Amino acid sequence: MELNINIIIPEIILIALAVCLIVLDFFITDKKKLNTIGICGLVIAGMSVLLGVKNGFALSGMIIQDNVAVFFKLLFILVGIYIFYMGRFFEDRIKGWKGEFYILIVFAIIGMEFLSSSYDFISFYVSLELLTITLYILTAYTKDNPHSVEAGLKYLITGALASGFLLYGISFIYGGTGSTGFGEIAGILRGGGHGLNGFVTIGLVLIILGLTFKISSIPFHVWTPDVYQGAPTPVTALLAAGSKAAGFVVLMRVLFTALGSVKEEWMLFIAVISAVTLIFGNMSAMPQKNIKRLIAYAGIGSAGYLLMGIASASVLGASSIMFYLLTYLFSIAGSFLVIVIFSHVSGSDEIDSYAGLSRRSPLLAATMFIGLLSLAGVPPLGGFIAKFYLFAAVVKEGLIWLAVIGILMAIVSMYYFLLVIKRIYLMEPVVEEKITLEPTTKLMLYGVNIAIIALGVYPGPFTDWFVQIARQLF
Amino acid sequence: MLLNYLPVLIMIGLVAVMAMMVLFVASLIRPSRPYYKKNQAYECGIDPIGEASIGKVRIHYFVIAILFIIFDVETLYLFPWAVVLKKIGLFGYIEMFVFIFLLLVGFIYAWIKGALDWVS
Repeated sequence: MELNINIIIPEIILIALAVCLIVLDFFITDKKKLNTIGICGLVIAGMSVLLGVKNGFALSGMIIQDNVAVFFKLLFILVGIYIFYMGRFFEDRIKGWKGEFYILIVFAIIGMEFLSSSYDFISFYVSLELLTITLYILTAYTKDNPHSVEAGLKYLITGALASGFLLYGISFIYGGTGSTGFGEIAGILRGGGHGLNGFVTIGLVLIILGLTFKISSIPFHVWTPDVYQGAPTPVTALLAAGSKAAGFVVLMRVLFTALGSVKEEWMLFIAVISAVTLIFGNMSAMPQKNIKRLIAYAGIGSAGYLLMGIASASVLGASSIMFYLLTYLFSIAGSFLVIVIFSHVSGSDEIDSYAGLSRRSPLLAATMFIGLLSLAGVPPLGGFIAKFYLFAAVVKEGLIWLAVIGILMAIVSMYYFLLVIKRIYLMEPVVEEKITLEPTTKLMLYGVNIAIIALGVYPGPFTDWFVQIARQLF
Repeated sequence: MLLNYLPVLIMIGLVAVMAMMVLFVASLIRPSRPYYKKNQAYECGIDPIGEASIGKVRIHYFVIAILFIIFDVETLYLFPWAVVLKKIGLFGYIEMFVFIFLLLVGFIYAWIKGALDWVS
């Protein structure tokens, strides 16, 4: 029974930040200042993750701090900074209660941080719900927009159903092994106990199904397009980059750490889900007219790629998931920053309205170009290396058919991303007016572009580090 | 390989059969005598006004209920804390104040934002 409060200092800083924002909301009328304070707080929390925290267990083994958790915590804080920055351009769409929007985003980030370091089914479920419930509210935040309310309701109903699956699964695992801690479950399963396997199989199937809601893959993918389209754009970016990454880190902890010794039971199951998700996501992305909806379907496809890494159940698979999520974060942050700025100027999310963007703002066009091509997986960019490692991981485990589907679907994804790029670069703009950008915005956009290119040109140090930290999961 | 998933299949079958059987057997045994009063929505014994699906629901009831739950949970945590207070010492003592402080901030926020004002 040890508390080790010092391990959760970054989360305590974030909670303090949330409380500060609640109080300051009364005194500060210019909510842009609140936004700046939020970004500063996130930076401080990120520093504390980097500098002050030792590895170990906290709260009686409920929370683990290892290098995987450190990586994901930094990732989530980076997501948070970009989401906050996007909030600046979205603010005027929110009628009243703007401060609360930022407070809820901070709470969602706290949920993701705890999720990335949960080492017990109880703490896992509580932090998952902290994240999901804040996202329900954030999705329906623009109350005057019927799409947003509809999205929130759909998200809530699907989420409640998925939570039911998850809890039922957890109860089966608990019934089969007599424990909720990931480490203890791994120990019990490694020690044999074949009489219990039936319960564990039912439990793990239900847990995987429940978690497909968070990572937006088949069978709980139906909410994705509607919610991505209807939710406020910063929240969509949070769902795409943050919530998905959080889903994968717990999926890795549950499957690799807790249930790693029974991997024959779930490898094929995950591989089939991955294949179906890949085909469905990429095929349905083709006819989309709305950019957020397009990225939603492409996001379902990405979940399929990431599940390939889970299906390989190896250190290479886990490290390539981390690499993919890192490049995915930059692609999503860049392209959503463009989407939010563009809709701030033109008020539209339709792909057709992006016509001639390159003549209105070359930087926005270039960011969209690099972000979308990285999502598609074009060679000099980070997305290519990430996909390459994922294919390598599944081929190494003998799942060649899955890699073939993945490569075919990468070609399909090239088609629909290039359609957007064609509009941006080759078509004549409807409105000629130039879009002017603030210096900080330019800095943020250059940041993501350089990061995507750097990850593609020189991935060595990152992949080495990811392989090293992925060993801790097994 | 696929045989590993047999328990899942058995469970799906069992659940489906069980659910259908319960509904079917119940429909055989129970008496069915619906009349107007019985089919009415139950609203604390008062005659319902309008349709629930199209009628206006005052969202304020919901806000008050949520605020009530916050304090309900707070008391729920205060009781076990009070019982083991001597064991957990000063650290636990302070920690409960942190918890109450966080709740209090939320409560004051709701108060100032007007969640407790009854607009009629």
